[in-house]
Parts: sequence; C-alpha cells; structure tokens
Amino acid sequence: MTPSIDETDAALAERVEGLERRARRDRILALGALALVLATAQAPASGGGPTVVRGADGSSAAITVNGLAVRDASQMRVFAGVGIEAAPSVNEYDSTGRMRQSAYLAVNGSPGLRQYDANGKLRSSLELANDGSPKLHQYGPTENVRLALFIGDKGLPEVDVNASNTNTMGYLSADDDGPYLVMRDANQGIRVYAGRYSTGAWGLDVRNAANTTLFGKP
Amino acid sequence: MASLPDTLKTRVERLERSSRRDRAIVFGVIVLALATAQTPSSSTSAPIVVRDASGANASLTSAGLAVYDATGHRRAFFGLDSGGQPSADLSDGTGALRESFYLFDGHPMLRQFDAAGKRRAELDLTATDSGELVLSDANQKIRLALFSTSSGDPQIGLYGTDEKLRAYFSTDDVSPYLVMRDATGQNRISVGGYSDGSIGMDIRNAANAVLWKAP
Repeated sequence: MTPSIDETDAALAERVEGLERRARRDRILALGALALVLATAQAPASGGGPTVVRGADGSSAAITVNGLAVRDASQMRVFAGVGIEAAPSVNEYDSTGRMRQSAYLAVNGSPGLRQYDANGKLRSSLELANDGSPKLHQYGPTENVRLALFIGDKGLPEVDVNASNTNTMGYLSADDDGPYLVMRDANQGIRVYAGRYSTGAWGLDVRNAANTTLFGKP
Repeated sequence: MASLPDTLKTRVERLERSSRRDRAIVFGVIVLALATAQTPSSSTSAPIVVRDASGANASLTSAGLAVYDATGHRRAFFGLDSGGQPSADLSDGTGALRESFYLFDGHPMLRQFDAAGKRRAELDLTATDSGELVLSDANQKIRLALFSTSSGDPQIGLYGTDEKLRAYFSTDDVSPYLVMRDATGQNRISVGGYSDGSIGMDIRNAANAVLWKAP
C-alpha cells in the first residue's frame, strides 16, 4: 500500500529530526576529540620513549629521559646522564658489563672520579670531600688505601704512603711555618723525623723503636 | 507560512552544511593526531642529527653521541671509539683532543693533552689494575708518577728530563724510605728503612761509598 502524502512527510520529518540529533551529537564528539588532541599534543622529538639508533653489529645508542646509553651487541658500555638519586655521571663499562670508570657528582654535589679493577674493586679515586677538600687515593686489591694525596682537616697538604693494612708509614706535609717528613715503623712508632718541629726548631732525627733519639741534628 | 517540503528542504540543507563542517573537523583531528602521535620508542639505523643555523650539530649514531661546532670540529664524543672501547672525548676549538676518559684495552684511563697534542697527565689503572698517576713534561717525558711497585707497595717517583728516576718515596709493611739519586742513577741520599731492617740515613759519593751515616 502506498502511504499518503501526509504520512510520507511526517516520516521524513521524523527522519530529518533524527539526523539533526545525531549531527549535534557527532559535532560534540568531534569537538571533544579535537580538544583532547590539542590538550595532549606533543612534538614528535620530545616524546617520553627512548630514541634509539641501532648498528648492523648489534650495537645501539639510546637517548632516554635519563641521558645517553651506548651498548655493544650484548652489554651496556657507556652511560652519560643523570642516574641513581639524580646524580649526574659518565660511566664506562668493560665488555663483561662491569663498571670500570665513573666520573660523577655525589648526592651532595661533590665531584668524583673512580676507577675499578676487573673484580669490581675500587683502585683509584680523585674526589672532593664534603668540605671541598681534594683527595687522591690509590688502593690495593682489597680496596685498602696505599697512597694518598690530600688536603686534610686542618687545611694542610699531605702525601701519605701506607702499609697494606692502611697504616700510614710515611708522610710529607707542611703548614705555614714549615714542612716535615715523618717515617714510622710497623708499630707506628716515629723512627725518622725531618723538617720543622712543633717547637719551632728545624732539624732531623732518627729514633729507635722505644722512641729514643739515636741521632739528631742540630 | 512555508510548506512542509520547503521546511524539510531547509533543514536538509542545514544538515548537509553541518555534515561538511563536521567532516572537516574530524579530518583535522586525524591529521593533528597523526602529526603528534607518540610511539613507545623510536628506533632507526640512520643517524639522528640535530643542527642549528650556525652549522653546529649533534649526531646520534649506534656508536654514540658526537657534538660538532660550527666549523665542523668534533668537540665532544660519548660512546664507543673505533676500537669498540667506551670513551668520552673532549676536543678544543681546533679539533685537537685535549681530554679523554676511556677504557684502554679494558683498563680505566683519564688522559689530558696539551695544545701540541702531548700527553701531560694520566690517571689510570695499569694492565695489572694498579692505580697510577703520571705527569709528563712538554716532551711527553714522565717527570712525576704515583704508582704501585711490582710488590704492590705505593711509590712516588720524581724523574729527570731523561725520564730516569731521581727520587722516590715509598713504603713496605716494615718501614718507609726516601731515596735520592744523581744523574747516573747512583743513590746519594737514603732515609728510612734499609733492606736489613734497620732504620737510619746515609749520604754517599758518586762511587757509592758512604760518606756519612746515622745512627
């Protein structure tokens, strides 16, 4: 049965009303999507994901939010950036992935350079202490300090040579009044002294293990 | 008063305009989303170069990051060197390497070079992993060194321009010693522990004869 003209017009009017409602709804959705994209858009280069360049040999270099990480085919070999506890550092690793060298700022901002042996033991360091005083240390295989150059607590420069138990056996230091060289035995008794004494006198002496002067000048 | 067909025609025309506008909006959103899309990571085999108007640039390759100045000199590098060793290199405005922080055959090394390219300061671990500090003159001759002896004892050595030892200060677990030598390498003054276990000091002549000794 063919509908009457009036019925057709009414149906068309209803369909047009439906279309108008959907058009309004779709416009709201489209504008919402546009607002969301505009609010969250980022330039491609500033994204949160790492940017990685890979070599044919399996090596790679990656820029992440922490810095630069360079790997060979199997291990991390170089890191330059801000690492644990927000401390900046340049770290170098051997082919087994063990860190062998690091230049860094400590958490308090003090700079340092450390070198490690193949067993991961600290063997050499150049650092500023918390008060800013510099110190160079060389360590034995058990991380025992064997040699030290530093400016000490009283602001005096000093060179120490230590026994394997880290006892200082000999040291050369100086204050504003004069330098002094001190040599000790294994029991830490002073055996040789040369330079300016605490009395203000200058000279040198050799002592025995009981601290008796065997020779002294003047 | 407009008839129903006229009203419907007006409303359909409005719908068609609205549809075109909405299509344009949707197309714009798609373009914007594509232009700003972020993937979890960006990976490529080609170098990534960031360049400014002066010509200075930073280049990221699989070997690391190199920074070049406007004259094309590499001024900084962090990554793996040509031998596959980790390296951080700093160069001056002529492109000459002035400081290198790297692994030399796997051993840590910090080297500083003068403007003539001579090694002047080195802080490193030797092939036996002992710590070493070496200061050299303009002829790259060692003049001062802090290092471990073959027995593992610490030593500070001072050297002549011929790189021969002139004085050294060292210790073992028994006693320290300071030795001064002449140009021929002869001991002339010794202070501290002797190999026989005694402690003292002596002065010798060029023929190694003791001129004075105490105690």
